[in-house]
Amino acid sequence: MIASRFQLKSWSERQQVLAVIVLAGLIIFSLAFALLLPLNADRRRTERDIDQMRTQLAARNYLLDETALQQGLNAEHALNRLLYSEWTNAASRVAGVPQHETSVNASVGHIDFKVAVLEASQRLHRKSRALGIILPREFGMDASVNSTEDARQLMLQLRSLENFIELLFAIKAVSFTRAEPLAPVTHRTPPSDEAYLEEYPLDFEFRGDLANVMAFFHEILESSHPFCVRRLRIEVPDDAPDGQINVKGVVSTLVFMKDPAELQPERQTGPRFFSPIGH
Amino acid sequence: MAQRGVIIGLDIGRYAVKAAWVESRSGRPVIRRLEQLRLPYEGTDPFAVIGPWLASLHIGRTPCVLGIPGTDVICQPLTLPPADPRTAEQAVDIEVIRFNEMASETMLYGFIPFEGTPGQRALQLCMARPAAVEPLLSFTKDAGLNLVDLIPMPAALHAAGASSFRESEQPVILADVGDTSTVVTIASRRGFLFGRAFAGGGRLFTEALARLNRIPPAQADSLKTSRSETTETNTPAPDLTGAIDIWVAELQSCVAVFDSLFTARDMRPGRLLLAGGSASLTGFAGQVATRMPFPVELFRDLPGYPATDQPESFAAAVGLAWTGHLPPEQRISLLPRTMRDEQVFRRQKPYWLAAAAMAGLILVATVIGGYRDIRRKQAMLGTQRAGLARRQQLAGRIEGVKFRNDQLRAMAAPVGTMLTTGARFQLLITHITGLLPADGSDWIRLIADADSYFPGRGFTPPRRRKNPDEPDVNPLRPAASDGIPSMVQTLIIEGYTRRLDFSTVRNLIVSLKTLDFVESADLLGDDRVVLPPEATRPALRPGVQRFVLEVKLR
Repeated sequence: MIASRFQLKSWSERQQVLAVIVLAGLIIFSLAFALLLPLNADRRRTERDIDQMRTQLAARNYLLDETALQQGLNAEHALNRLLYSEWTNAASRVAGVPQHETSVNASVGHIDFKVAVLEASQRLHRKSRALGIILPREFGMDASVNSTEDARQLMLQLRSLENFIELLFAIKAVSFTRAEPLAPVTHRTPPSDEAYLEEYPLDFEFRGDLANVMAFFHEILESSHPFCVRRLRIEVPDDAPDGQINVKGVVSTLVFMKDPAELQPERQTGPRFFSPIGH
Repeated sequence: MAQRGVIIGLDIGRYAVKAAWVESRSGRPVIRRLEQLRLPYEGTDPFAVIGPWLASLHIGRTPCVLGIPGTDVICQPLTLPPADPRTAEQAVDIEVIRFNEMASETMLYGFIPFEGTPGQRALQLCMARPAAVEPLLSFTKDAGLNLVDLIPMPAALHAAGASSFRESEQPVILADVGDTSTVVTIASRRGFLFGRAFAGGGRLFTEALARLNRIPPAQADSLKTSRSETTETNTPAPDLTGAIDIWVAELQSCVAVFDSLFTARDMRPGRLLLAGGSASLTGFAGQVATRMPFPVELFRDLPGYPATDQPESFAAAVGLAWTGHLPPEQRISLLPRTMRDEQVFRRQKPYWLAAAAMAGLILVATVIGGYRDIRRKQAMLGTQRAGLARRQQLAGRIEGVKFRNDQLRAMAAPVGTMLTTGARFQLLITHITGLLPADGSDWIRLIADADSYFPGRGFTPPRRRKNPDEPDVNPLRPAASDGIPSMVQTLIIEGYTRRLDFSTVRNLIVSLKTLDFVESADLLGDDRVVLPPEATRPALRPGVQRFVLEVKLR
C-alpha cells in the first residue's frame, strides 16, 4: 500500500510537479543550510576572535600598526642591551672574589676552609706586625667548622675578611678593633626567587684620622678591594685623642651568582595572548 | 508521438469511430489527418476494438477531445430578463440544482452564452449524467489517452459548422446522422441556440433493407453501404422512403421544439446541413429536402478537405478537435471538475515549472552569492586576524623584553644603591668639611646612616659568637634578621654650634639640599634624637648647642 503510494507514476501531474518543486526546494535549502550556516558560524567565530584580540591589544595599548610595534620592540631591545651592558660592567667592577671561587659548584671542603683560615691568619699577623698595626689575635674567624656550615660560604666569608683587613692595612688605620663576618644575604629575582647575588657582609670597627677615613672610601671603590657600604657610623669619640675618628659599620663583598642572561625567563605579567581556536 | 499544436477529436459512435487531427493556424482550423474505423455490426464491445486501433495510430500523448453522445446530453437554452440580478453562473447553478432534484443525481454541466433578444442574456446549458461520462473516462484511462476535454456532441457540431453559422442571420440546422441516433444543432451568428438528439439514424435504413430483402441486418448494412458508395443517382431506393419519413418526422419534431422556444420570425431555420456517416446514403439528402420547407445540403465545409472524400462523416470529429483549440469560455466542457482542474493545471504546468525553475535559480544564485560573500568576508577576516596575531606576537615579545628590562632594573637597583652609598658618604663628608666655619664655631661629631644611628636596627647575625655568654660587641646589631637588610636611604649628621640663631646650621641644610643625591635635609625632630645615657653623657659647654640633621637620599 505504502509502496504503491510512493510510485511516482501513480501520482497525478499536480502531485508530481509539487513533489519536484518541494524536493528541489528542499535540496536547495539543505544545501544552503549545510553550506552557508557552518560558514556563517565560522565567520562569526572569527569575528569574535578578532574582537577579543582587539580588546586584549587595546587593554595593553598595543592596538597600533605593526611598524609602530616593531619600533617599540626595537627600542625595548636597545634598552635591554644598555641595561645588560651596565649590569655586566658593574658586576665585573665590584666582584670581590674570583669567579672560579664563587660558583655554587665549586668544590670546597671543610679541610680547605680550615687550612685557608690558618694560612690567612698567619699571613695577616705577619703583615700586621710588619706594618705595626695591631690585629686582634683571632681576627674574626676561627678555624672551627660545624657540620651544618657550608664550606663554600665560609671560604667566601674568609676571602671577604682577608680583603677587608688588607684594605685596612692599605689605609694604615691607627687601630683595628673588629672585623667579623655576618650571615650572608642572598638576593633573588622577585618572581622566580632565583638567586643572582650573594652578599657577604662584615661587621667592622677601626679607628683613624680623617685621611684614613677618606682613604677607606677611596679603597672600597678600587677593584682590588671592592666593598659596598651597608651601614656606617663615623663618630668622634669623646675620649679619643685629637683628630681620631671611630668608624664602625657593615661592608659587603658582592658575589654575582649568575649572568642575567642565565636567569629563567619569567612568566609574563601582561595579557595572556593566544591563538584563536577554530582554524 | 505527440504533435505540437495538434488536437485529436475522437467521435466514438455505435457503427464507426472517427478521428480528426486538427491544428489551429491563425485562429482557423486546419485538418491534418482523418481516420475512421468501422465497428462490427453487432455484439462486440466497441472499446475492446478501439483501443488497439488507437494504438496503431501512434497517438501517444497528443491531446484528445472526446464527445459525449447527443442522446446522453440535455441542452437547455436559458434566457435571463434584463432585471434579473443573478449572474450567469448563479442562474445556471439554480437550473442545474433543479435538474439534479429531478434526476436524483448530480449532473455534470457547462454553458456558453449566445445572443438573445436585445436586453436579455441568453445561455446554452448542457448537462450530462455522470453515468454517461464514466465509461468514456474509464476508456481513455485504459487506452492511455491524453484526454483534454469532454464535449457534448451538439456543441461539437456547433464548432464544426462555425463558419456556416457565423455567416447566417437565420438559424441553420446541422444534423449529424449516426447509426442509431441523430444529433441536431441549431445555430446562427448569434451562437449555439439549440441542441438535441433523437433515436433514429442509419440503422432505420439498414433494418428496412433487411426486412424487405429478408437478409440479416449485417448483410443489409453492407448492402446499404455499397449502395451509397456505388450509386450515383440522387434518387434513393423506393424501399427506404418509409425510413426516411420516420427520420424526417423526428427532425421536424425537434424543429418544432426549437420553434416553440424561439418564436421570433427571424428565428425560423433557413437551412439544413446533413452530416454523419448515414447522411451520405444515396438520395437521402434529396428526399429530406422534399419534405422540409428550407434548403437541405450535405455538410461539406471542412477546411482543407476535398468534398469528394465525404467530409460530412467527420464533422463531429473535426468539431471535437477544433473545440479543444477554443478558449475555455467559448466551449462547453463536461469534464469532471477534478479533471478540468487537472487540465488547467496541465496548461499552467510549464509556467509553474518555469516559475519554480526561476525561483530555484534565484535561490541557487542567492546561495552561491552568499557563499562567495561569506568566503570573501572570511578571507578579509583571516587577513585581519593574521595581522592581529602578528601584533599579538610583537606585543608578546615586547612584554617579554620589558619584563627582562624590569628584572634587570630590579636586580641593578640594590647593587647601584650599595655601590653609591660609600661615595655619597665621602661626598657628604667632603661637602660638610668645606662648609664648616673656619672659626671653629661649628663642628660635626657623627655621621651615620639611620639604621646605625637608631638603636635596634641592625644587619644580619654574626657567623658565630665565640662565647655565648660574652655580650655582642656591637649593640646596634640584632640577634637575627630575615630577608635583605634595607639600603641606606637616610643619613644622620650630629654636630654642635656656637651660633645661637642656628644660622650656620640653616646654611648647612640649604647647602646639603643642593647636592644632587639629596632629596631632603632638615633638623631631626628632638623627640627622635638619640642621646647617650645621662650617666655617660658629657655636659655641653656653655654657649654650645647640639643639632641633629636628617638627610634623605634619592
